[in-house]
Amino acid sequence: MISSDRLLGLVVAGFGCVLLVWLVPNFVSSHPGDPLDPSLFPRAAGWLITLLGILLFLFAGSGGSVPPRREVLVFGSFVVALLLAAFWLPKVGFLPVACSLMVASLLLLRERRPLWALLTLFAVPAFVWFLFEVLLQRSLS
Amino acid sequence: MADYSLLISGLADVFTLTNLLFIVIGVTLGQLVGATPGLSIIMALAIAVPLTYGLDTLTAIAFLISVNKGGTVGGAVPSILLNVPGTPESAATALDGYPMAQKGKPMKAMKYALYHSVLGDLSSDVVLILLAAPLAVVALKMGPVEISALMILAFTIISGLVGDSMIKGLIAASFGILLATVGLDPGMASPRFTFGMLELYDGVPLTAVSIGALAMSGVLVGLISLQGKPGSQSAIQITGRPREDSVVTFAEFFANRYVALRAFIIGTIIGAIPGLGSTTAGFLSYSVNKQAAKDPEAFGTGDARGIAASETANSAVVGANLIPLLTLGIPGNIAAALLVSAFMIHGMQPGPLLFEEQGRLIYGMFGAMLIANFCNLGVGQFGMRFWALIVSAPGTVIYPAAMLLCFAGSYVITGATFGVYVMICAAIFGYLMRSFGFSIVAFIVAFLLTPQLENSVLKARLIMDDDLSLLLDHPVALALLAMAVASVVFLGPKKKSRRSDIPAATGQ
Repeated sequence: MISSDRLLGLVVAGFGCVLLVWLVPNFVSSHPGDPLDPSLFPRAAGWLITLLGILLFLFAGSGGSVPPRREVLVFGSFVVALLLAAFWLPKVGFLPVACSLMVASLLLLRERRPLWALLTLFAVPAFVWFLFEVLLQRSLS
Repeated sequence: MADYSLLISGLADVFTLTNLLFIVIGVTLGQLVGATPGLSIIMALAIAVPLTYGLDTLTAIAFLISVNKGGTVGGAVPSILLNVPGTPESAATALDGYPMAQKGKPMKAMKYALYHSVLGDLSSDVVLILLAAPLAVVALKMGPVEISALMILAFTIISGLVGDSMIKGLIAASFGILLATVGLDPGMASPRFTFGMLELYDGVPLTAVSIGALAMSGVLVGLISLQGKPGSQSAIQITGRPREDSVVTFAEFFANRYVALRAFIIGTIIGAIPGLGSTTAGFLSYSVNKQAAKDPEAFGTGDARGIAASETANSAVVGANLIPLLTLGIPGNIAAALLVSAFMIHGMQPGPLLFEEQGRLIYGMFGAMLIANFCNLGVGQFGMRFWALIVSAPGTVIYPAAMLLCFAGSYVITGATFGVYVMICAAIFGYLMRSFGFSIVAFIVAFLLTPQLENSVLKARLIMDDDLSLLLDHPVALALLAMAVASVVFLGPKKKSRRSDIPAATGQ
């Protein structure tokens, strides 16, 4: 069975190739030979990523492992909750979004103790709002 | 000759009510976060950077440095009361702190940690103050060719010293370089990887990337680990102990002077080397002091020398890691990298020119560092009992609060949801890097240093007209490049055996 590092090496090297073949030529203007060439560093990064990916494939160690599916699902749920919160923030304002995010957290964490749940649900958003909007005068919506 | 008027006026700048207040708040916040298991100083710093947007430069820097110093002290509390390091830096403290607490002396263990932490921090600040300006004068003699070579050396050393493998460290650094190229290029101001998005013309916001990759990814990992088991951890109680078990007398403190001295030297040297950090310093100092002891078997059984060795060394890193930052513009570790982002937000470019261009501000910062140490002592002296309660707070409150702070902090960076989206992307990237053993430190440091490296390379190419043989006229640059190659050759293969020593040493 192929090790996770070996697979990662392939993915990284593949990304490096995509960078060199498609992304840099299409999204960075190039002036070869000019000392001010804007594509120098993106190309250098592309070559480094490709070569190091190949090295990782060849000399794969045992560091790192694929996270369990359950963990990835929970992580994905939190990311989706954050993306939804970011999407709704300009539309409904900070406090409703923050409270909804807290509800999602409590549900995902299966917190059943009412005192701690209430604290998370109301006190945390109120504290963050107070900190930024009132104390630091930074608008959150 | 030193400009003493600049020094005095810089130091005097700190003594405003606002600055002093923010130093106290920073220290308190740092200790609070450090004392909270699962939250790290890095998370606290990443979240604290957006809080400084509306502050004066000196106040902002003083606040962030205070958070960093406070976190080092606070991290010892859960190590001692729970045997769970509040921060990785304090992992070695648990080796003797927890056994001492189990023997009925939790407050005494925390006091030992506090006093030695402040001692280590204060001593390394003095070294920083004495060394930084003369080293910056030397660094000023370096041209673009030497600076380019120095940056390459910094990349290879950091990639070699942190993370699971040299190859993975260099891959992480390469992704940092790539991400830093997004936006207008420094030579021709033509857009790179902007995909038609105006927000990307200024590049990817560093603070949003830092919050996402360092703080939010850690918070999400913490939230995942809590899933389905939201209970609190039970800590050793500190109340109802005899007074002699709760105080550290001067004689007891002074008895560890040689341990503290060795620890301070180790911490300061390690702090000044880019890539190594407080955790390494703590374990190395513990190990060296144990070997130097006449009764090494006493270490690990609640010996005060173990606490002194770990805490003095890990705190001595805090001041020393600003030496490469202020003299060369290279952040010694991730905390210093976050300070760089704060410097940049407030219009400061770290490096040797800082002393010439903003000397007064730098001396003000030094003053703030010294004051923060004494605040650390005062806040710690009175706050320890409170932090002992904090360690039992459930993660179901702490992690969502940290998540919301990251969310709000990344919003205020750009004043729009663009910052939040960047933060979420960085959090996903950070989570993947953590999962697969890539170094986030190498990624962030490369992301941070690449604009400076690109400018230096650009100037170096213009100077040398792309004739590499002219490198022979730059022996310092050649030596630095040779050291970079040597670091790849020597650090790469040795990493595995060295890294595997640490878990064995901690017994975790």
